[in-house]
This record gives sequence, structure tokens and C-alpha cells, in this order.
Amino acid sequence: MIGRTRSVVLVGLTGHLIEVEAHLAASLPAFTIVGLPDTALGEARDRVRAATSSSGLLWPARRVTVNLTPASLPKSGSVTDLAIAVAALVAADQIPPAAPASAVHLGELGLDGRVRPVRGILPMVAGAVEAGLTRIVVPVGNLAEARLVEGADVLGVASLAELLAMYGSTEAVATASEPVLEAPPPVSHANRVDLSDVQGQADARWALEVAAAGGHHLLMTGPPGTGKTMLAERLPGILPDLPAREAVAATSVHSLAGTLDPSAGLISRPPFEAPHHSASAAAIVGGGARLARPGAISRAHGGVLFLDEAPEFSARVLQTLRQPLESGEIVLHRAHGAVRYPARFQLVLAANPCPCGRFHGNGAGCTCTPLERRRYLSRLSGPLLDRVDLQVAVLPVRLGAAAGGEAESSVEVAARVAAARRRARERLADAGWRMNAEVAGAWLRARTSGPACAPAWRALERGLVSARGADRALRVAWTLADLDGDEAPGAAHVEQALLLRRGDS
Amino acid sequence: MAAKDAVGRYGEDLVVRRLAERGWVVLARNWRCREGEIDIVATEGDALVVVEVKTRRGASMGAPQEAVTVRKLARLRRLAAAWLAAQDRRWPEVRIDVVAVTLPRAGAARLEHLRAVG
Repeated sequence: MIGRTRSVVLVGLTGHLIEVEAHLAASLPAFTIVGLPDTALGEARDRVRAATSSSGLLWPARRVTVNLTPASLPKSGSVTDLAIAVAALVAADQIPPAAPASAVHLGELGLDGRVRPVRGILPMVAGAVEAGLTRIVVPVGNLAEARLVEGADVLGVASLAELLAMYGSTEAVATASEPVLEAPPPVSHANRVDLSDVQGQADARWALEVAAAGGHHLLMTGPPGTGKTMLAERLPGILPDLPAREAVAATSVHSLAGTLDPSAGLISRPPFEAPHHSASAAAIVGGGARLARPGAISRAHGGVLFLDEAPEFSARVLQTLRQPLESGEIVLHRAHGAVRYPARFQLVLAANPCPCGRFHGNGAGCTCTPLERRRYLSRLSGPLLDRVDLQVAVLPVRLGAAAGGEAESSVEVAARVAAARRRARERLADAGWRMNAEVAGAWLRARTSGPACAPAWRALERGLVSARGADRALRVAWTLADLDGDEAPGAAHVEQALLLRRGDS
Repeated sequence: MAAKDAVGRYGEDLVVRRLAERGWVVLARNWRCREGEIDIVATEGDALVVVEVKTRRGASMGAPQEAVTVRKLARLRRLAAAWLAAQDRRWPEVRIDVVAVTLPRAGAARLEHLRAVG
């Protein structure tokens, strides 16, 4: 007797459809699972057996062999519990085979027979739909998230008994009735802030707007208490909505990381991630034994990764950012295989000017030695700063400036950013870029007019910027032109861009 | 004789009768040595079969065959070897079967024959 059904396993963010077969043999009672299961999946034997008897059915006194195919794909976790139970009970003739064979079953079983929610339902359901199977059974606690996938015919079940009764079993009785629901994660603070909260800081606000319009990475240096963190938190608020593909990828990452609020639907607003400077490399890029889980850079996919006190991060952690900054994704290799997570984020760095934080203006009050000061910022390595187009100083607000007038709100700034982005997108569509920050240096030099370039070459000649620095000034100049609504940057834009990079040498 | 031994004996009698009906030749019953006891030794055609009989009244303690653990199976294998060593004949095939006998409160006994379990 053979029972068959389907389930999905995740490798990274890709859901792979697997077939679950159960075979019953007239032999001594045993229960084996084959097909590269890991420990959590091996423990499914005990959960499935207990859940079945809790549902009022007898577990077959046979040799039960469950095979998960393709056998070469490593399988992990508890999400296949439900499929294993259904396949075994089909094989035992407890339920008819037709309906379960064409359905996908996802969910972990409790010993009491309830179906418990699992992480990563969105990419799993998407994987099943992509493979052409649309009838999908999910835990009732994951129903809202599963419904986000278009074209899926999703059914939420609270217990194994409920599902078996639906498949025509007359003996199945649920012993526990309260369905298991997942508590939604706390609402992120970044969604409730507005740029009008920031008093003064016209230069830094302008830099933030330019960063948003061109997708440029940003470094802010300045003494503590000047609003660097406040500004960074308000960057997602002036960024445009995520395009559809990016929204699905971002939602999938958060589903897998367990930080998704499914009642809010797909993540359409850019996320904001601010890991503490004590974070390990694995926490930032993703990690964990066997197949790695997504880290802060992937949770920031489509949004902003903010590193406050950036020089305090360990050098190793900062180095790991280089590959994702270049490619927009991270590949994590483990003994059991490599996983790929999206990681296209906008990097915002904040740093004090020196270890004591008071070196600004004439430097009065700073207790650091010149050597300490130099060492401090040099912890941000050249290769990393090479990718940061904007470097601005955030100075203490003077009394007069703070009191002056109503500050612009995020909505007003976001409208200008959206217009500039649209202009850039139309211009760059043919070359395959979306924002100025992605544009290659050769393209910039070829398209920028000679007179406009002049200030950059002059600065290069005088040794004020490096060749790469000159390229970056041109890149920012295009964004400034987009914000002004001009076709191409002029000399004034390039001069302004050079000012926005004053950290460079 | 304790009640459970009587039940076991009754189950074994049932099995012997059933095997004989199917043309098996019973060579020995309750053969003992230092390792323990074999319930039934029989031949089915060319094959020599060591049969372990497990009898239960009702299903409250689970199916009878669940009582045959990996350790018991290993002991059955050692017993089979001991029995073979005491014989002059040789068989081309030797296997171990378990027959699970369930005795319901009313009605006929239910026999389940599990072939070549180890």
C-alpha cells in the first residue's frame, strides 16, 4: 500500500516541491523516514504518531517507510509533518487517496494533533504555485500570509482531525480545539516617524534627500546628539514604495526570519534595519548551522541598513558587507549546501568624529589625541567607503536654527524623490540600471558634458579627490540634476556634488 | 499456570494448526537452550522458518507485534543459529516470521502472519 502527497522544502528563499510517499509493509512495526532528513525532520516520527492517536485514529502496526523525493535535496524542519501524516494515513486506508495526492500540505504537528504555524510560508506557497500546484493546505495561523500569494487556493486547518474529516474520515476527532495562532511581531518604530520631527540640519536633510533620490550610500559624521540616528530612521519614509518583485522578496525574507506581520500584507514600504555595533558577522549577513538563515542585510532588502557608531563595528563585520554591496545578494556556504538571500539595501553609516565625540568646530572640549582621532575614522576601510557616495558632517544645531519655522514633512520630500527617481529610471532603463548609484563610471564620463565635468577634473588635478572620487562626484551630480528637473548636470551640480563628498581625499 | 501463559499456549496451538493447514511441517515446538526458547520451528517448502508467536487479548496494550523489539529479534536470530547448529540437516533458506494473534472478547481469533521480519 502506498500513500502519496506533496509538500515544500525551502533552500534559502526558494521553495522546492517534494513528493512524500508512505509505504506500509507487513512486518514488525517500525517507522522510518528516508530522503536526507535532518534531526528536526527525523523527530517528525514521534510527532506524527502522537498527533494521529490524539486525533482518534490508530497508527498502523506495520513497517511504515516514508520517502521524501527528490532524495538528493536536503530537507529540514518540521513543515513536512502534515504531509507525512496524510501520506501514511492514505497508505493505511484511513482516508481516500485522490484528494491528498494532488494537494500540497504544509505545517508542523503538535502532539495533541493541532497544526502549528511555521516560518517561511510565503516563499513555500509561492514555490508550490510556481511548480503548478495550487491546492495548498496550511496551518490556520499562517493563513493570512499564505493568502498573499496570487493564484494559490489556500485552505487553513487548525488540527489534523479537521483535515482528515475533510478528506472523508469518520473516526477523526480533535482532542484540542483552540487553534494555534502566531502573535504578530511588534510594529516597527521606523514606520511612525516623520522628517518634520528634525529641527534645523538643512545640510544633512538635503544630503538625505539626495541619497534617497539616487540610491546613494551615505556616511554622516558628527558629535553625539546632533540627530544622525533621527535622520537615518527617516530615510525609509522618503523612499518610494518597493516594486512588486522586491516586495515579494522582502516579505519572503521576513517570513523566514520570523519578523513578518502577515496582517499588513506584502511589505511594500522599504524596511529599516539598525543592528547594534556588537553584532557578529553571522547576525549581519545571515548564519546558523546547516542551512543559514537570513541576517540583517537581507532583512534590510529593498530598504535601509543603518550602522550607528560604524567605526565601533568589528572590521570583519564591515568587510562582509562588501560582497552584498557589489552584487545585491549574499551567498552563504555551509557544509550542507549554499543558500542565496537577496540583500540590496541602502547603507547609511553614522560615526562620531573621534572616540570622545566632541571634535567639531575648533575642536575645543575634545580630549582625544590627534592619533586617536585619525585611527578612529580609518577603521572604516577604504573599500567600504569607496562605495559610499555621500559623506556629510552633521553639526550641533544652533539655538536660532532649531527654533526657526516648520520643517518640511516626509511626504513633501518623498514627492521630489519620486520625481527624481522616475527621471533617472527612464534615462537608465536601456542600460539596465534603476538608480544613479548603480551607474558605471565610464557611462558617467561619456554622458556628462565637458564644461560640467570641469570642476571635478580641477579637483582631481589639485589632488583634492581621487579618480574614483571624481566619478562619484559625477554620479551624485546626475542625482542633483534629477532633483532639479534638468536633463543633464551642469558645472554647478558637479561643484555641489564635490561639497557633498567632503569626507573624501 | 498463570493466565498469561495459558493465553500464550492457546495462541501457539492456533498457529500450529493454521500452519499445518497450509502445508507447513512443524519440526519442533518450545525448543529451549541457554539463550531462551523458540516457539515453533517449521519448514515451508525448502525454507526453514523460526516462528515467534505473540498473543494478546484485546488491543488495549497495542498490537501484539509491537512487543517484538530489536533486542528480541536479535535473540531470535541467535536462537535460530543455536537450533541449526544442533541439527545434521541444512536448509537453503532460513528466516524468522512473527505471527501476531489477537484474541477479542467475543468472536474468532485474528492471526496476522509477518514474514521475514529480520
